[in-house]
Amino acid sequence: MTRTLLQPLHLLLAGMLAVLASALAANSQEGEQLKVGVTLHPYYSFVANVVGDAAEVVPLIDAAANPHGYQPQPGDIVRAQNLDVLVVNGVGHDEWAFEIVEAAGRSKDLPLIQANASVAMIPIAGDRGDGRIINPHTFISTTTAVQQVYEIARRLGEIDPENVALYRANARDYGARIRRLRADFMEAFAKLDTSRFRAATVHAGYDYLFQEFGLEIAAVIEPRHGVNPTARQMAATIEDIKAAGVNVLFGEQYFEGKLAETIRNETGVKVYVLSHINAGPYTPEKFEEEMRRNIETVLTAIRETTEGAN
Amino acid sequence: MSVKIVRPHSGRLESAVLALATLAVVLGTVGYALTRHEHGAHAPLLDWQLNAFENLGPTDQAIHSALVFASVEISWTYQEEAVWPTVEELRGEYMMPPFQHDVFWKRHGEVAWELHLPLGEQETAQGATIYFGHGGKAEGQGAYLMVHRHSHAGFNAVNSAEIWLHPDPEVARPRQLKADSLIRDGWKQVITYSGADELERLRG
Repeated sequence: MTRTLLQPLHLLLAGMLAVLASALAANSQEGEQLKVGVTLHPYYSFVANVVGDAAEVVPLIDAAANPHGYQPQPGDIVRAQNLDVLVVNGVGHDEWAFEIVEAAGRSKDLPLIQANASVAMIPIAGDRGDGRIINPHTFISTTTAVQQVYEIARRLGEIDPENVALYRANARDYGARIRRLRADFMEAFAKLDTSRFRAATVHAGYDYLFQEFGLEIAAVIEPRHGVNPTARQMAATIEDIKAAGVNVLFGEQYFEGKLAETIRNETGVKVYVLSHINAGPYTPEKFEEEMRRNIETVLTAIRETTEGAN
Repeated sequence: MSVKIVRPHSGRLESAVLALATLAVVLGTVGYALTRHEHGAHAPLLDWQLNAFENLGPTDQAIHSALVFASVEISWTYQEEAVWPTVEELRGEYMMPPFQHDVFWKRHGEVAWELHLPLGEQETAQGATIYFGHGGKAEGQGAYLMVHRHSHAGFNAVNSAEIWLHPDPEVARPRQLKADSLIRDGWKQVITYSGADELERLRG
């Protein structure tokens, strides 16, 4: 008898709890911002400038981690579980992101925005003896940066249609700022004599940057992305550098080994340092700040090469 | 009395298994190599098409890359304002390569650019808007054509411009813009090898 009376009460209570939980969940979803994950520092800057206050930008891995050969950590998986969308490079600079997404069980339901989906791929410079190889560093260039900012804004607008106009307007403002950065240096570049400038880079990160300033890279030291050359490859590279008359070598700010020093000692090239924009705090300004320094460095190298020859 | 013949063990079966295993390893390796070649996820090109990654020299490749990006900005402008940016605007206000007269322009042949708006079926652009680049002085460079067909203002569309290349930098502006006419006149369509193509190759 007592049992018969309690059954409807249980059902009523369960029903009320379900309604309450559902209301709370709906409320929390309405109040929550879109969580946009990013895999690389430049993408943090791009997305932060596109979304403004309308979404939260979440770096997938810690700021101090080196994205070359990165091994996913448990914290990355937890972050991936809570994202609404993830912005990736996808062409060789963040393969680990796909492992993290899979480990988080989000392969099927986490939308990916490939920032460089529409960027025309260009090869890594220099004669590598095995055909042209895709350069994945689409984010180290002002022109391709703007293109990626537009792609991110377009895709975010599809995922979050309420903010499509905001994303688009922000993308155009930010894009104009990046183009202004490039234009600031164009006049200075135009006055330089680059006829004696023969550059090599340690890392194959700068073809897109050099292409937009009409410059060429004669050789790249690393035989593969993020891989140090063997002793034999190093000896061959030193010979190539001498044969090509290379007089400037661009090393790496964040993950420099002794390669640049060894090559300088062997060949007498001048060494300058460029930023791969892949370390330090994630900030909205990082891309512009480090690209400005990179372009200034290239300008200085050309000037000093010309002055040194006179 | 029955006689059971016991044949000497020839190793024939083991040889066959070994041969099959070797064949499987060879086929597997070849198959893997074919799927892991450095690039080329695109469908095979037609003889009037060029792969921007594989088939272009440095100058044409740089101008193609710049045009790919410029086409996005131009499309966005048209969708929002229903106006095609002029070459002068692209050079000035937009600071847009390859139109802007800057170092990129100087080192890539100082190409002269013209905008031609759609004027009707019998006239120049036949419903398409074109940016025509010619007269480049860099070694080995050609003439360029960026064609925006059937665009409509006011929607968030993916850019759909075509880029064509002619081997003669001094070629006259094409009078007919249909693909078959361009092909007959020696133009080749440049197919971009994009980040999306590479991701498709890597991840399927």
